[in-house]
Amino acid sequence: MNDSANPIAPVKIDIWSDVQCPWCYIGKRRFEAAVESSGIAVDIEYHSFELAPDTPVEYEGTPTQFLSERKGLPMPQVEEMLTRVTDIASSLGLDYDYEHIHQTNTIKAHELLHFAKAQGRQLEMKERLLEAYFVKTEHVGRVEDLADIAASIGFDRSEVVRVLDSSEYLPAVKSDMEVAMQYGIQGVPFFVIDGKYGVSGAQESETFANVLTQVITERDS
Amino acid sequence: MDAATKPIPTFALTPVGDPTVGVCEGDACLVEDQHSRVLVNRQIDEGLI
Repeated sequence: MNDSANPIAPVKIDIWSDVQCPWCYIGKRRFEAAVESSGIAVDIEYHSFELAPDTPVEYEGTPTQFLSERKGLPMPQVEEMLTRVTDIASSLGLDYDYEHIHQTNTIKAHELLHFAKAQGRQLEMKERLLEAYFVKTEHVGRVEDLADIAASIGFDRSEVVRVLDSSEYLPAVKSDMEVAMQYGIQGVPFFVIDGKYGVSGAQESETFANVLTQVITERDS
Repeated sequence: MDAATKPIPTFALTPVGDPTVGVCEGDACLVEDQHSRVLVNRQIDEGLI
């Protein structure tokens, strides 16, 4: 890490994201690479963004079938589209398994992320949930499955079940969505850097690194 | 997201980056393409579920 580039305070990074968003995982990896290459200290906080809040928890089928059935698109066309994003993910070391992914509702996953944040472990949970959905094809919509996922990284399973059943963190999820509206966020991933720069989408690492460097430069000037 | 449901920003941000990169908007995910953006993941019209 380049000490001369480090400010006294880390750069605050607020990221709006959904667990089912393929570009969010890709963007996460690209942003992490930018932080690594720039050597700039960051303080990352994830925020909830529900892309499809009306999706049923128990949808039966793959995302490919989902899109084909709902939109009437031919399966080969959908498969070609998903192959494209899967290839990009693969280039970053992320092995998306769209054949076995469980399409579902992510509201409880977002609540779990807020619970993890309250425990000071949000980043760990975010990575685990993205891996669960895209790579390990675990179900991220059901409370019992989410409790298993949380327990796999050391959370108290029964406490997670209690928290999710009570919807204790639902207001926090809704609050994140309201702030997203205030920022005018229409899509994710969306990065708010140092409270003033808005970066939409899975940008290349160089773009993220340039913004981080600009923030530090402005602080020094 | 149509014009009627588009959020009206009350917090100002300076936009940075390529506006055509991959992003998930509303209930659809888009992939960058040399000439256009295409739907890649899912786009559920209200009322179809």
